[in-house]
Amino acid sequence: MRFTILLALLALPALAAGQQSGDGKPTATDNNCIRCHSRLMKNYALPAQRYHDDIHADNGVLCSDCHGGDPTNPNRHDRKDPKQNFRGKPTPQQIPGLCGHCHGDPVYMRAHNPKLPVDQLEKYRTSRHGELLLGKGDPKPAQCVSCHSVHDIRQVGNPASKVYPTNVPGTCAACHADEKYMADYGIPTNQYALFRNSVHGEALLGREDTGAPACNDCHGNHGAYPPEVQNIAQVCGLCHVRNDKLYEASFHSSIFESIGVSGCVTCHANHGIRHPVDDMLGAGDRATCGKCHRDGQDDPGFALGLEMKGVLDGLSHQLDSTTSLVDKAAKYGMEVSELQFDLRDIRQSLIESRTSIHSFDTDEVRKSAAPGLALAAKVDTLAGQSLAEHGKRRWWLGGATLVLLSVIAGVIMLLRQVERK
Amino acid sequence: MPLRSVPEKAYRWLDERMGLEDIFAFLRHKEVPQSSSSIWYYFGGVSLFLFLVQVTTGILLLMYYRPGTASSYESLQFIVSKVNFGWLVRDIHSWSANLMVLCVMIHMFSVFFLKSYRKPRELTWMSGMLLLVLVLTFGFSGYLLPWNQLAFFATKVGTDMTGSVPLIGDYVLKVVRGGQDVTGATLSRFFGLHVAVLPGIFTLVLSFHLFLLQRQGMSQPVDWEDLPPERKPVMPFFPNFVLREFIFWMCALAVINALAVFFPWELGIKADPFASAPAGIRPEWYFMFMFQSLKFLPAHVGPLEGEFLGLMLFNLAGVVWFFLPFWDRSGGRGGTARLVTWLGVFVVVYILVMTVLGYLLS
Repeated sequence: MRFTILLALLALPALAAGQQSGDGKPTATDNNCIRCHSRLMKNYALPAQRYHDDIHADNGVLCSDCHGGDPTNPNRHDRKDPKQNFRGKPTPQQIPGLCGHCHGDPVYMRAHNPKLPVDQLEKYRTSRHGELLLGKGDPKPAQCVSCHSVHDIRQVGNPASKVYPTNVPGTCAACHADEKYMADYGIPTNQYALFRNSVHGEALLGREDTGAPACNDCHGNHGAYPPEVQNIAQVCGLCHVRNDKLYEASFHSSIFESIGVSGCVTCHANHGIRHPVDDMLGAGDRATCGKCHRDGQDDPGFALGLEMKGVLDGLSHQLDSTTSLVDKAAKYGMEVSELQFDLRDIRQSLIESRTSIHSFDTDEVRKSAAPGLALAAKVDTLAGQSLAEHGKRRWWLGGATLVLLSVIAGVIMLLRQVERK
Repeated sequence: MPLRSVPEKAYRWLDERMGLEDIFAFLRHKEVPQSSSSIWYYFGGVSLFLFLVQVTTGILLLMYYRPGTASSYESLQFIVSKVNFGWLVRDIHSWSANLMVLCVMIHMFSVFFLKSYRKPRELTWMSGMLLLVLVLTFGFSGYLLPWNQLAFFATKVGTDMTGSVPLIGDYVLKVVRGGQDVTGATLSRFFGLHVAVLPGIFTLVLSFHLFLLQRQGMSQPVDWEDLPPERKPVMPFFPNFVLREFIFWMCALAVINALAVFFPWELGIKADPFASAPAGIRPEWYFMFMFQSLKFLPAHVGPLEGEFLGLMLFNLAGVVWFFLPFWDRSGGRGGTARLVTWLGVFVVVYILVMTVLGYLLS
């Protein structure tokens, strides 16, 4: 079989070049699959039209490599003729094996794209999609072409690919947001709607920041499975490393694990994660502590939330007041670029303090906020000196103007004296 | 030896060697026409004063300014924040540069409307026009020196225009910029131009301009042509005119001080050649009328590029303006002289309207 593929690859340039023979009739050197299908109507022509953009066409993979048959045969393929070995359109259950035939072969793939993994089929078998399709014979779950398209398959890094990061949510949503299609599976269909408005969705779909997570970054791609309760924090921790470390070391982690509650999702939700705000702590309407803790000082967990919020609010207000002082000095034309640089460090301290709340330890939060507060005090002093300097300058100007006016008055008097003579 | 005789002795000592008495005698006899339009005579002197301010503050800035893409912005930051009174020197330099352009323009238009360019003052007018061009070049070259974002892109746009000249445009652009783009090489040559080449040429032309002024004296108003000498009031140049001029200089200094304290010149953000151009890029106010006019022109006018055509028209207008004393040979205020006056009014209105539009539409 490998030898056949090799022969086919070697023959491809000749086949591609020889589509038009002198008398206009098909010859043994034509790719007759493309030649005939290009002339067919509607859906029968689509594969031939799309294949020019397919990564496989660039790598010399022929129609016959998936569908069987003989492209050098100028006659119409006959499914009943065993000599032609024509397989036609594969069923959904056949597709993973068909793709895996080459994509699971390390030797073959090394020759075409050594960077590409070859374990997709193995992973797929362990995925929820694979379990249903291959294990239970359900034809509806996604297989290779559901996500990668067919006949116009592009590389993942190509923005036109259905699996390019910014296209992944839409590709998944094609099935998972379809209530009718998903009716048999008893899972929600609002994930895409929630994700689109989430902090991750705004970054990925709104700002086209391909560093933001798409569905596959949390659920996996070929081995896609719903995250289990105990490993959600690990999934989030892949990107939010510091938050994960602090949370894992905190008392909350063991308590949540013992009662079977997921850490991150309990406070931040999953598909609809919004930009976190300080009001998520404490007692307000947006506070998440109240989901488990009672409002009042007798609940130590609630008091802890209030304490941590107090530290964050203190630094946040300090940053606001210091920023407005520096802005005021800048408005008066004072040179404050070094102070503006310090403001960035205070902001960084606030970010670190916000991160440190995942330790659920007020001392840890205070420790993170301390450098910011100290720096803010220094900047306040320097900005105050700048404003005082500006005040002094106005006094100097007043003095200089008085001197100039006196000189002018003196000269006018002298002039009058001279002109009177 | 009585103390008061010391200055007298010193004066006599110098007089014997320098002929000071002759100079003072010349000044005592020198007279200046006194009329309703006398106030315009002072703007030339104020321009001279502002030039002296520029030279003084420029020398002070040179003590700390270090040209270079990695040091220009930083050294200026150091000057305004760390050097004692550095902020004042920098702001005075920037503000007096702008006031100087304004005063030179007022001086030029007052000479134009008072018809003071006529025979025998043709060379005084032409040397004055040359000084105006040098002042504008001073402004353009100095604008880039802080190496901030606005200056970088304004210089890019300004020098881009030279590239639109057919055949030699690309070559001229490379010479002006020291390469294809605005880089450290552009900064170096603008610095050299600003602190060495231009001051040298300016001092020579200014000396010639002042020499002519002393030789010919100040022009009389056109209305005085047919008046008898007793109806032509004059005032002694020294001390009357000099003292009045001094009052103007002190007023100018007070205005610059106030502007420096209440409207400090922004340092902006350091130039980043890889950043996208900030919104609202525009040249200094004195180039705004040209900038806006070029923006109104279509991309192509016949076979020529619109920008090139605009530049050629401005250059042609500049040449015509330069040779004004040779094509306005009429006397008095009537006839051709009136047409020339209306042309001047049109030019002033055009500059004002285009400048205002430039700010409103940007």
